[in-house]
Amino acid sequence: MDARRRPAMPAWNRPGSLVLACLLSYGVAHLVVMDIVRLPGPASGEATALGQIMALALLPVLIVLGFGAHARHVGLFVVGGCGLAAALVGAVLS
Amino acid sequence: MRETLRTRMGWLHAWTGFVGGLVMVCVFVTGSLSVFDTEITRWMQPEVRVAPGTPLTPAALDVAARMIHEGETHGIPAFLALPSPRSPTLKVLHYDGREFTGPQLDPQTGVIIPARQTAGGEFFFRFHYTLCMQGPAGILAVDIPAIGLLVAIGSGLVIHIRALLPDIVLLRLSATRLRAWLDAHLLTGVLFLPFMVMITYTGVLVHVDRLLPAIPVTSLWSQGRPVSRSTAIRPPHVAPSPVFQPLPPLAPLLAAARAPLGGREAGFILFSPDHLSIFASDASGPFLTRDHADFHLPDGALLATAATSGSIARSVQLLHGLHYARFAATGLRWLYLVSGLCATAVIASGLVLFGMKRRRDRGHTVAFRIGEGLTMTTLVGLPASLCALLWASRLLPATLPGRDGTEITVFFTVWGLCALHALTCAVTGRGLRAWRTQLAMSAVLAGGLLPLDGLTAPAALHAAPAIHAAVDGMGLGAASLALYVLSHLRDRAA
Amino acid sequence: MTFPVALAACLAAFLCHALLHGRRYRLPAPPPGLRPVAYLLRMAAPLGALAGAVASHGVTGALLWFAAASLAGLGAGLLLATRQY
Repeated sequence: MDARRRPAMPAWNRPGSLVLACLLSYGVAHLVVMDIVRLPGPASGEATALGQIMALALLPVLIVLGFGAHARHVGLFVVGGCGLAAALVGAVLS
Repeated sequence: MRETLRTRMGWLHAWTGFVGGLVMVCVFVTGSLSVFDTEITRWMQPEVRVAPGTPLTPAALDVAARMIHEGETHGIPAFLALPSPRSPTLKVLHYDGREFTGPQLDPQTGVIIPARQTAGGEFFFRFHYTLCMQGPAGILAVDIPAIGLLVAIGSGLVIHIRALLPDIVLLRLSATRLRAWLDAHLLTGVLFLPFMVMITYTGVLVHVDRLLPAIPVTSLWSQGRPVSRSTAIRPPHVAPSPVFQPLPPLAPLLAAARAPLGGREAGFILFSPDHLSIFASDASGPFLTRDHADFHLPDGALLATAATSGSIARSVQLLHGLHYARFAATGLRWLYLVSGLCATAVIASGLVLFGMKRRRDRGHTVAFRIGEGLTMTTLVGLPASLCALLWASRLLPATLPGRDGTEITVFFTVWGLCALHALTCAVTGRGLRAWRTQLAMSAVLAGGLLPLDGLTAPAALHAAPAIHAAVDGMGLGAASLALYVLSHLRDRAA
Repeated sequence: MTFPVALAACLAAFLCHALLHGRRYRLPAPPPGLRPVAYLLRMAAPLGALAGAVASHGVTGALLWFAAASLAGLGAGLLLATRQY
């Protein structure tokens, strides 16, 4: 959609959207840690460390994406989709 | 205003940068100083005049071993920190619930050095990662704003991405004040971006167990707190009624530990009832390992060697090592300090810009003035109170009981008074006056470190001239900066 | 020696960069023959310094190079700014 024709959004929407993006992103990052811990292969301690390294790198990126891509809340849907995928992987692995 | 990606990212950058930045300035300033924590401790303890490189003798080790054994039998588990080029004394340390403390011995004679109790550089280190708050709350109080800083960096990149490379060294000092500040913020921000991302990411990673524990979220509070995989030295676990074996001479064990530790120097020794563990020094490489050789007590036979292998564990060690920089030689350590201070300047200029952009429209509101007061408390009050801590370390009586705690009380009292002054003045519309007063006070406190040092510890100046020149020189540098800003504010007021 | 070399290489690269974006930095356009040299120096000098630093000092070399690049950029920025001032 052309930016000039895009309807203005109220500023109060931003804090709420940020909180939602943070919560969703944190959930996804935590699910990534849990999924990697459940992966067959590395020892539990090493898997935890790997999961945390990856999840920590992912967390700020997800927050920026979730908050930034605001058109039709695409960002929040993408982050939510990632969370859903991570939850499904977790369910398969456990 | 139309909602575009740029405006939305601008809002995210401004608010996460401002709220997180207030905390992160404190974290970055004290973290940068922590790179030289051992040297700052030596400045704060002028009684310690052992020359670097003084050889460690078996007699001194035996004295330390006797002290440790005596402590163990009285239920005070201790460990032995061995001399290093940065800290030439032998330290018998135990954890008092807040910090590692204990006597320092002459590495040649084993005689206890009558050094004053001080919060030391350890205080900067502890404040850097916990803000001096107890328990996991302190770690989270630093880690969550650190994530906010990473978000601010990400959103800042999105805003500036098109001009990122072409404008990489663009600084227009002759443009409007706002433009000049923005250019300075972007110049330092882009150039020190790799350092900021590395140091923030690795810093959060050190205590990531608190933030992203590998247990289901639902059981976080029901099954107790997660265990931190911190690399900090912890006192050895003591069984309810242990029988401590006598310690053999430590010098031969140190020599014997070199081969199993791959030729690395030993850093410290932990003691258990039936064995002792000699750990590799953190200065031996960029990988912050806890590799150690265990020796049986009382005969001193080598029991086992624990060395971490595996690419993931090694990666974690490297990431921790990059953050702690304990392997770094003095030159690289200075570069860490300068980079840390430049990163602080990025955040500080961001805080100033946040206020400048909003002053015209919202300068009259209480919220804006509180924000200005908090900015002042962070940017000027914190350095002033850090200098006050150094003043207290020299002016409080050397034999005062609980001296280290009193130094910390001085620090927080001065900072609290600065906050009160800044907030009161800002809310009553005298913000500029408060900036000037606090800058002048900071200049006096920082610039006064050199005469204070010369007057209270002239002998220490000769014993460790480089350390004293560096600390006093940093004070003079901070005072010059404060006076420079003060002169600009006076011009503005005129 | 690694740090001064990296600092000089990065400073040269940043100054070449400014020369190549002369309008932005209010610098005169470089002579046509100099442009390829500036392009080459901008790319090759820092990369060469990085390769040398990593080869001789490993992780420490990489850290030294990043610090040198940041400080060189700061120096170049201040140099160009004071020139305009």
